[in-house]
Amino acid sequence: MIVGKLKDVAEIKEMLPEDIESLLIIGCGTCVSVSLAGGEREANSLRDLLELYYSSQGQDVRVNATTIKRQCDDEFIETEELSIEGHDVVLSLACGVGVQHLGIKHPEKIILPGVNTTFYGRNADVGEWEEMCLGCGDCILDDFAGVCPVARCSKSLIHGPCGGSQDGKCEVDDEIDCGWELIYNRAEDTGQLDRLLEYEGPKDWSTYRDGGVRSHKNPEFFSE
Amino acid sequence: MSGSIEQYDVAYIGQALPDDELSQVTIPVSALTECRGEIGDFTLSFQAEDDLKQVRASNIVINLKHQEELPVDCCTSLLEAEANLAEEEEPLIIVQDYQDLSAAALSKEGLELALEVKESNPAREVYYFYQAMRFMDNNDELYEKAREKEVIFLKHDLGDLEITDKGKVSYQREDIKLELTGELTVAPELKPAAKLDKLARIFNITRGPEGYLQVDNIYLQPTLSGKRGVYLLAGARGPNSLTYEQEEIQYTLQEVKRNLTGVEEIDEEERTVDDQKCVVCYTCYRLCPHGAIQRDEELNSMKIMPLACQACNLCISRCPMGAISRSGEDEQQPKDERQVIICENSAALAREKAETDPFADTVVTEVPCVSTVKKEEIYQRLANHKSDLLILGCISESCKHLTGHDRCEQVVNTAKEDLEKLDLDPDRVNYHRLSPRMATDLSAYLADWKGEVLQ
Repeated sequence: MIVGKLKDVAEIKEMLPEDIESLLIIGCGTCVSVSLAGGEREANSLRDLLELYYSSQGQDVRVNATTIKRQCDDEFIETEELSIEGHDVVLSLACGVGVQHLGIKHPEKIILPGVNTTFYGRNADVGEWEEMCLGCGDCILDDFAGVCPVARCSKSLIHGPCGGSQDGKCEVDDEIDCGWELIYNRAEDTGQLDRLLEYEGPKDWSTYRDGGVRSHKNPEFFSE
Repeated sequence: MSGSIEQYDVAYIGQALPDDELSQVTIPVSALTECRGEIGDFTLSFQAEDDLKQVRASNIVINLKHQEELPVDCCTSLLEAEANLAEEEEPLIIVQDYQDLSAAALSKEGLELALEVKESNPAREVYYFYQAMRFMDNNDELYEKAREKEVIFLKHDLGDLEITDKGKVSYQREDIKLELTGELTVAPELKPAAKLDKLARIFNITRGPEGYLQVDNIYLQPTLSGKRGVYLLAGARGPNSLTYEQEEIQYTLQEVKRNLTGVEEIDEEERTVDDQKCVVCYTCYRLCPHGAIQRDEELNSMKIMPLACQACNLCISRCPMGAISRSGEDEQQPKDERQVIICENSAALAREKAETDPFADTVVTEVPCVSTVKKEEIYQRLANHKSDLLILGCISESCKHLTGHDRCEQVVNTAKEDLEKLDLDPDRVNYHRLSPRMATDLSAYLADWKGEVLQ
């Protein structure tokens, strides 16, 4: 799941134009709702906080909030078309995908991000998420006992741990588990240690950012 | 899955209790896989041979033995010791509290063992080491009798007594110095029963800091869990459960029987999840202190179980999609100068006890738990009124909804931080804890608060 974190409200305040007269906050009802960053609760709370702020400044700003199911699909955005056009500025609480999709559909509207898209992760505990995937475009989990060296080793090393691994922790931060210790332990638990000895050639990074901006089509939906 | 599902009054996880009136089923903890439903109609799934079986039960009692850990090798456990009544010459050494104080039930075990040996063989030396004699039932009589029979009681503090790996006991306190060997019986350290982490997941019950399924809270005494209809005994409940074993068994059986006569919903409000808005993020499920929420598999939406729900409204205030609502919510919206929100289980009771009404000149909103308060409500109240906002929750371990007071404080703290970041006064919202008994404190606190902020 895409995980997000609501931006610091001071940063949001700074990015809003000073002469703003109306603001529409749009929450997103999928990934960032599940990661408790940009759903209806956050959209409505932010609306009320900004209203309190503007009234304390003696500024007459109309602040509204709405939440749609997904900001990355046309059909959900279309229901809010009039509302978007009726406000000076839109603050999107979607991930970076939703913010940009709104911009593509509303080319003349200022669309601002209210959420930092942090990573693709799992829910580790209530209110807590951990990064699991980098979206490299060429999944190699089968070679590493199901633990991703690209996402879970701080240095994305795919040929073994660095010298900074200490007591199962990473030298970058001792709160981070060493990804390679996790790989080794899981390989041992699942009887796949031998596979780690197989030489893996250099990873093809062209499917990641090295190949430029990515897009793909599902051929079932296209004719030659 | 076999045909119709059998229904029982009570399902025991672990050891069943002796009772002829109740229909009962016993499920080993290792076999249990799932529990759905609520008080009056739980459905339990479990592995039986190669088949997955289900039973329905109105109540659940988790009754599992403590795990025991002996503090030294070369000794028998006081809980398993049987008096050796033969003409033994070596002394019997009973250690009641080696590192930590033992429960009163272990004092009883120790005293009974000492007496039994002395009564059958008066010449045999019996040494009894203890840090503090703990009294329950007839322990005081047993103690007196043991003294009369010349059991040698030796009190110690930490460091006075040492037991080697080979079972040699060294005791030194003031002018007494002893080196002893003999038949050594030591009180075990009691630990939570095995597999409680699994049961916590299955029943969606929060474990206390020591790992037991009962958290420290006055509303859960003696054997209640946070989840209605699920009772905890012995090693599932807590370290003192041995001491009050009989009372706790009686209480639990009475409660189970009372539940069978009918269970009412906690209030008349209806709490519903909008299945079109719910994103099945499980936040409500994870936060609910009463395990009152489960997923509706047909609707693929969370649902609130009305009998299990204890009406704290935490799920409503924390749902990221605002998908949960209650029928009385609109009536509670602030329409006038209501700037004090109080919990009906603490401040409201303290108010009743006060000689003069501390809220005489204030309109207050009474809530079933302060976790009802939404973040947006805090901002709305501050925007709509010039006066500040005070929220009064319960003191630690006294929140009827276990975590409600903490959850509200978390929301207030984040609201304060955000106000500060926008150069707004964070002290316009205040959170204070008090108990129902603190009527005087409430009046004094309010007088201060009003003096400072109420305009």
